[in-house]
Amino acid sequence: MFAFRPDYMLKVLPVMGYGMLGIFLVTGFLIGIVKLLNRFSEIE
Amino acid sequence: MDGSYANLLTMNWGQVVMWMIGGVLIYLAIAKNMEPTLLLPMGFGSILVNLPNSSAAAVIRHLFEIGIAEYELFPLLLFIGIGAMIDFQPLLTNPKLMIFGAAAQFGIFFTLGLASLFGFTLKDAASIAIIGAADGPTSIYVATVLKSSYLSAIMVAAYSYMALVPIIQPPVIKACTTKAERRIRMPYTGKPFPRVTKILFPITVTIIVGIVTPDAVALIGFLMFGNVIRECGVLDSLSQTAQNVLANLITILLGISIASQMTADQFLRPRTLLIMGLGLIAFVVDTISGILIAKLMNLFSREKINPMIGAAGISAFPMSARVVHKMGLAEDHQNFLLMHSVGVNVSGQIASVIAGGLILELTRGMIGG
Repeated sequence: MFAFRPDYMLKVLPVMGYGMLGIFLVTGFLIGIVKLLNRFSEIE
Repeated sequence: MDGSYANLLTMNWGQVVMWMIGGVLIYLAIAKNMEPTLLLPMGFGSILVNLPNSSAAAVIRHLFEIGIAEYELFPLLLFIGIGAMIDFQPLLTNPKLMIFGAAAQFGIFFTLGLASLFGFTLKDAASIAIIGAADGPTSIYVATVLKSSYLSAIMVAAYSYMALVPIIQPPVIKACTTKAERRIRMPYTGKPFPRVTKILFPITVTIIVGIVTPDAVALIGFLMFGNVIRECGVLDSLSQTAQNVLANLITILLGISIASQMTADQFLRPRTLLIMGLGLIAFVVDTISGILIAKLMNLFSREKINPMIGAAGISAFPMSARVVHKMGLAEDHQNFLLMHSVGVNVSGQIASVIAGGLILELTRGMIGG
């Protein structure tokens, strides 16, 4: 049940890093889009 | 009579234990009102499939094959209903709330590392980690696409912890915040948005997320399709159908289909307990990371943010937003955090789908699936 595999964990470190980075990048982009949409709605 | 006796002899202790687990799920659904729409079908289904030589097992198994295993149809259809239920207005009012939704997905990636450390293969570790998305359909989708052998345990953990959000989150939030922080008031300046903005938002999100994470297109696309039906203003009856009839119908089928995986040989494994523990850790880390990012932003922001709203980023919609709102009111009767926490909560819904897509893309890239 508890087979400790630090080698497995080392392998997934890039997934953890790229995953969080990816989420923040997409989120940042979406925030920009929403601000743009808000600007357009103010112009209207 | 001889047939019945012979049938009785084929029974094993594992099946009896599964009846009891089914009974516990039914009890929690009815007596404790914990996610009854899903836990009750799952509980009853687990009794059905664990009867000796059950003729229902084949039917439920077939339902699982066509509704979940083949094209992940049920979770995706359920997303249409969820999309039709979501109002993105609080998010559009204050888009920076999306940062909390993103931060609160850290529990997924933390649990991915932890599950790997405990010896789970990459596809199983990724499927377990996605329990931290606090989003049933995303968990089912990812675990099915990755063909995890722990689907039933993952489902039980995901839906149980979603139901337990009002019990899990408050002590974690209290441990991570001071009384003064919990009393921070946040005025809400909600303004009505033109319909065109509300329609363009889901379409734009679908295109952007679709381009960046193609594996999340099905999830985000069905979610946002449901939202466009809601916001377009000309499909009110379809919106009501998606929110009620469609969501209820699919939930019944989803619950009973998942029960096909709750056979004694698949469920009664020592690792099921480990998965339940890892799922809990994912929820706790999600909550902590949402709060910490809010505290970090307070260091640089003039307008202070109540760090509790960061905890609503875990996507368990709308329980998490309600928990934060109630905790705010408990500290200060004039502290209304509901709209902010709902905004964070729906952004968590979007972020959890993106996280699911990224997990799929990155893990499939590594295992070559």
